[in-house]
Order: sequence, then structure tokens, then C-alpha cells
Amino acid sequence: MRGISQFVNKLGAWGFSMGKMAVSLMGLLYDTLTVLFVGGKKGITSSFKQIISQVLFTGVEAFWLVGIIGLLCGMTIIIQAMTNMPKFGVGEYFGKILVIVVIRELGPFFTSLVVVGRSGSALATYIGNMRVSKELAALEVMGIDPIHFIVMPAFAAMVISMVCLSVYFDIIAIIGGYFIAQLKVSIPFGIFMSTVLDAMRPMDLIISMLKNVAFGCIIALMSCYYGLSVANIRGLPQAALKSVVGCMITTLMINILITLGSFLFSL
Amino acid sequence: MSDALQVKDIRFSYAGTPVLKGISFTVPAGGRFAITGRSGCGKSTLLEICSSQRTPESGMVAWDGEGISELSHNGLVRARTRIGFVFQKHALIHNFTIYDNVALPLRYHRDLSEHEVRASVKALMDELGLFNVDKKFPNECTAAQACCAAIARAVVMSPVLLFLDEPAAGVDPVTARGITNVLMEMNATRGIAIVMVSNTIEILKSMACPVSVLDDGKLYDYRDPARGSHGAVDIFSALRDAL
Repeated sequence: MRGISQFVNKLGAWGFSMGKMAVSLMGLLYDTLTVLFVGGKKGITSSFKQIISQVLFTGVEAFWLVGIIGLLCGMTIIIQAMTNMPKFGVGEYFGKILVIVVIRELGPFFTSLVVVGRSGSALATYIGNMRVSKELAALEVMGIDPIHFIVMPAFAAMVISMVCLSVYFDIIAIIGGYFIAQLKVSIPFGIFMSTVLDAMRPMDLIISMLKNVAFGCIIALMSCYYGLSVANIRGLPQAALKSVVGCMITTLMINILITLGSFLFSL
Repeated sequence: MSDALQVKDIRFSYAGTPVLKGISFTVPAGGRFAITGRSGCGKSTLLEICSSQRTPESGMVAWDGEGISELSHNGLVRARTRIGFVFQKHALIHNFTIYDNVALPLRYHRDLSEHEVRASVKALMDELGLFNVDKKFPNECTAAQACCAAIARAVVMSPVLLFLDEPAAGVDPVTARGITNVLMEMNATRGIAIVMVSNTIEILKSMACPVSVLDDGKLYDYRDPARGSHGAVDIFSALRDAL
């Protein structure tokens, strides 16, 4: 009985802390969007340099990694599709498979994993370090809002980077798939591409973009949240770890929600 | 002309233990004031309260005649442009160059062209002896350069009040003297009131200003005959001998 009571207490405490974090994240999202869209001259224009530098780190420097993963992903999918789909008499649907699997699901998901691992943890550590070394306090005492100076540029940069990297992933995956397909059957590139493009609907791109924007928002907000929550130097490695784990779980949950929604509403 | 800083009956506790038990003092416009005391007595906490980084449990802080506790969020942001704060470890933004650190408040708060920002920042950096460090990052600078950069960033907006938390911590006496000279110059030429926390007697001596000791949660003038024991090794005796 006592064990059950303790379990319920712990569950309640966990639920309460999750609820508190969700409310804090909503507040952070509101503040960030306010600065981004209603900040006037002190909004996006004065943080332009920081947004660019964050895009360079999050997006441009991850190109090679996303490219490799995209290439390998596309190759693997086409190998499996060309091996197994003809057995079920649906071999001609490999274009549709590429669109559904790569563009709707794997593109946003794998890109988010790369961004979480590289940039999410780095951002949480960067902000946590600023908290420990009193740089955040210095900003506040200068009358500079940390939301405007750090969170908003990271938010804008993450969303831009997620969208661009995901599109890049999709292109490389499809090209990778084409090269592997050539090993088994010689298909002109134009025909291969038209098969893929014919299978693509506007809703596929909308779903993909929606996921990319949502993942970018989540990664930026959670990383900033954990970084801002650091109290002392012992909390720094914890912040990076919690940021990675939290972002991965939340992006997975958002992914399933969007996929489920598109399934239920036949999108 | 109103006082640069008015502090009335400030009280603050850490985990139920009173640290500040009714602190009151005033710093006139263009004046200087130093606070010293044993390590861990609450000097930095008092400075953080005076500079709006912490909220006291009770009491009032006013900058240039304006109480800061009554200000709205935007009002406090505006008021903070009238003060400067130099942290003990400088707190320069580590991935900004020294130039960008000093220019940061100007770029954020003032509607200036980059050319105007450059002119102001270069003039100030030259005045403080910061030559050839524009493109250096804080970790590439000496302690003296980092301290001067932190002072430059704090005064670039021409504040009325400058707070300093152990400005010469960890530097050699010659460098410490140089930093003090810079502060005296800022005070004399720009009329910036200075409130400093320091445990370095040489600094307190060269600042030539009223010195108060934070002892058991209260502020006492170092000359207070009721404090300290003559002949004993305590902070009051040390200050009386040195100053």
C-alpha cells in the first residue's frame, strides 16, 4: 500500500513538473514570438547578425552530416523498395514510397536528430555557460532582454535551418535512391524524377514543412529553456543532456501527432 | 540635483538567515562610495540589490531620485540605461570581440549609424587605454584589458551611476592602481557617481572616498569607534591603520 502511495506521489510530482515546464515553454514561445513579430526596429533587424551566425552554425555547418545521412537513407529505402515491393506486385509505387517515407517522415525526423545533437545541446550549454559566468545578468543590467538577444535569434535560425536542411535531405535522399536504383535497373534520371514528382502532392510538402517548423520551434525553445534554467556550473552538463533527451522525445511526439492528424483527416 | 543613489532600510535574507538588516546610505551625484567587509558578509548581494539584479525583502532603492521598485518592466529597462555595472569577473560576452562588447549597449539602445557607434566606441577605448584589442575576444585579453573593457561597456551609455564589484580582484597592485586611476578619471571628467565593493585596501585608499564596512548585516563607517578592537586584527583596525 505504501509502495503504491509513493508511486502515485512520484507520478503526481512528475506530472506537476511536466505541467510547469509546459507552461514555461508556452510563456517562452509567447515572449519570443512577441519580440520577433512585434519588436519593431528592435525585433528582427537588430538581431540579424546573430540570426545569420546561428544559421551558419546550425544549418550550413551541418550540411555535410545531413547530406551523408540523406544519401544513405535514400539508398537504403530504394534497396528495400526495389527488393520487396515487386514481390507484392507494387513495384511501380517506389516513387510514392520515396515521397511518403523520405519527404513526409524521415526528412524532418533525421534532420531534427542532427539539429538536436549538434545545435540543441550546444545552445543549451552556451546559454547555461552565460548564466554561470553572469553574462546573462550583465545583459539584464544593461537593459538588454535575453529573449531578444539570445532566444529569438536562436528560434528564427533553428526554424530556417530545419526547413532548409530538411529540403536538402530530401533532395540528397532522392538522388541517393536514384544512384542505387541504377545498379539494378537503368532508369533515365528524368523518368526517375518524374515518377517521384508525379507521386508528390502539395499536402506532402505542407506536412513536411509543418513538421520542420514545429521541430525547429521545439528544439530552439527547449534548448533555451534548459540553458536558462541552469543555476550553477554543476547544472551545465545536465542542461545539455536534458535538452537533447527532451527535444528528441518531444519531436517524436509532435511527429506522431501530425502524422496521426494527416491520417485521420486523410490528408 | 537629486542624489545619484538613495538606499533606505534594505533587508534581505538567504534561506531564512538575515544577511542585510536595514541598510541605508546615500551617494550624491558625482560622488564616490566604497563598501568593504569580510568575505561572505553580503557586499555583492547589497550591490546586486542596489543595481536591481535582486529584489530586497523590504526597503527602497532610488537612482537619480527615481524609485526603481515602482517602475514597470519597460520603465526599468529604460532606467537601467542610466547605470553601469562592472562584474567581478567582468562578464564580457565571451563570443563577442572587445569592440562588439563595448558597442553592444549603444547598438541596442541608441538609434545610431555604425559609423557613429564606431566613433564613440573608439574614443572611449582610447581614453581607457584599450589599444589594439578591438578584434580580441575576452579570453585573449589580460586581466587589466578585460577590466577596462568591462568599464568601457558600463560607461559607454554615459550613466549617472557606476557599480563595481571587486574591480581589481586578481590583478597585481600596479594594474589595480591603473584601474583606480581610470575610475577617478571617469568620476572627475564625466561626473559618474561610483559605488564600489572592494576588499583591497590599496584600492580603497586610492579612491579617497567614504568607506563603510558591512558587518553583521549593517553598515558602519570604518572610523566608528564602537566597532572593532584597537590592536586586534580585524577589518576596522586594518582600515583605520591604512586609510
